[in-house]
Amino acid sequence: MEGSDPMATLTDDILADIISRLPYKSTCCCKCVSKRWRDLIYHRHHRKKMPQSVVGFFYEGYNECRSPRKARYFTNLSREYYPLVDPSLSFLPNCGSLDILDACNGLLLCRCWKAADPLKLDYVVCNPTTEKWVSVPATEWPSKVGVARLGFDPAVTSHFHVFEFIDEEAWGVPEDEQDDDFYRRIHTLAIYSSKAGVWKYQTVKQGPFAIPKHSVSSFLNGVLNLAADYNLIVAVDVEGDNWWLVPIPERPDYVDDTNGIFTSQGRVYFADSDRSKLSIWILEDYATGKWTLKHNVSHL
Amino acid sequence: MAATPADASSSSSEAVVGGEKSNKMITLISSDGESFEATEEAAKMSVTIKHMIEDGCADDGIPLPNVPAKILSMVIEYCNKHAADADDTNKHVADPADADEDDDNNNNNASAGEKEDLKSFDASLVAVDQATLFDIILAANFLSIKGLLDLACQKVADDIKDKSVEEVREIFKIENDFTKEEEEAVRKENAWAFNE
Repeated sequence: MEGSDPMATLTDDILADIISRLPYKSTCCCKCVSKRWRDLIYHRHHRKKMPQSVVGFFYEGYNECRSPRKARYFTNLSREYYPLVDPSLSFLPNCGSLDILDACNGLLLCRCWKAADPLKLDYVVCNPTTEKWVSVPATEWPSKVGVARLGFDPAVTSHFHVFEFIDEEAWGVPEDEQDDDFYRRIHTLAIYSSKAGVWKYQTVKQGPFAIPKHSVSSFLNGVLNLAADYNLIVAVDVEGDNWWLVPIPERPDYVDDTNGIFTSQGRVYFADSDRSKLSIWILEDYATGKWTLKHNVSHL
Repeated sequence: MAATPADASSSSSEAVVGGEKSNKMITLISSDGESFEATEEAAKMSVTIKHMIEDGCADDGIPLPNVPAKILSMVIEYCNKHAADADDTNKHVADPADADEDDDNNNNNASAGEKEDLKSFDASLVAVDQATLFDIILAANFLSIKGLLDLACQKVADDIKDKSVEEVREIFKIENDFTKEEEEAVRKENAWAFNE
């Protein structure tokens, strides 16, 4: 046997201190080193020092025969067995009724109807694990706007951005002036910066494009990527200065469904499935809109 | 170590953080029986020793059965260097009324260079073999010297960072005690971290 383990002399507290100084990715490698390391990192006592990852998702159920009809659940995908998140988000005060609009890197964007005044509506950004929250001053549109998204990247800054895509109808454009081809074409983009504490508005010159209410979106490297109607991916940065409208990769069959967009390891991907296979494309460049086929997986 | 010349001017009017300064020497005895002298100020960087001094247990020398001579001399070197730095900082902070004096300006000018010195001293202190580094950590932990513990732990963390699982095991001679199934399970869960 080789020389004995010099780290055996270090106490658990010290080893935990050392591991807690590592970036999260290294911590995950450390879990695989030995049983002692794995158990240390997962141990409740030391976990507080480690960067935590709660991997799971919220979903809503509807049951007509139950009261309340709508119920929200949280499913925990990580190995830890004790629930870390309370899906009712009861720590948010004065919320009569709440919708979760978006999630980004551990924060949730919610739309809250006040218990006291059912017509008043606010955005709230919260961290369901730490139960910290802030309210975002409401614009005129939260009740009308279908598409609001959150941009948050803790690796860059502790500040976040909220994006509101306001379509023509919500903005109040008279019906006869609205775009015929793009129903509920996006007219204005409003961006809230938690650092500045204000909303910035810009009339959207790009496009035209429309974004379905439950469009899939992903925030990466300061850019919000959304699935838009008519096979388009719309991307905009947190300042609203740079826009990209990227058509999804060419396919033989016409299908209007851009919801296969996702991000992973710093890149934007598109997953496309037809009856026989699943294709994964990677976006090489926003400006040129070039996609490269990365994987083809046959269903058969 | 002799007290710094600045002490002479500061002792009269200022209330120095942490109590009175003195030039009293403390004897520290390593696990292998060797004696080392340190100023009380430097010795008090160890919270453990500070408490012993305050409890009056330090008069005949303080035995440190956990710390071998080689390590103790490094620890004392660290304390001497950093006590002098802390001294300057305390002096800086202790009496705001002195803020306009030339003295203060000199400290400011010197401190940038001193900080660089301190940084490179710290770096060379922990640029040692693994066994020694771990001994320093254990000593700093036992003696409750936060700065030294942070320094040494950070060095180990830096050595681990960006290494693969196998490399970490090799560097630190850690045995892989997972069963095949256990290892597969934990790797699968953390697969994203392996950049494959």
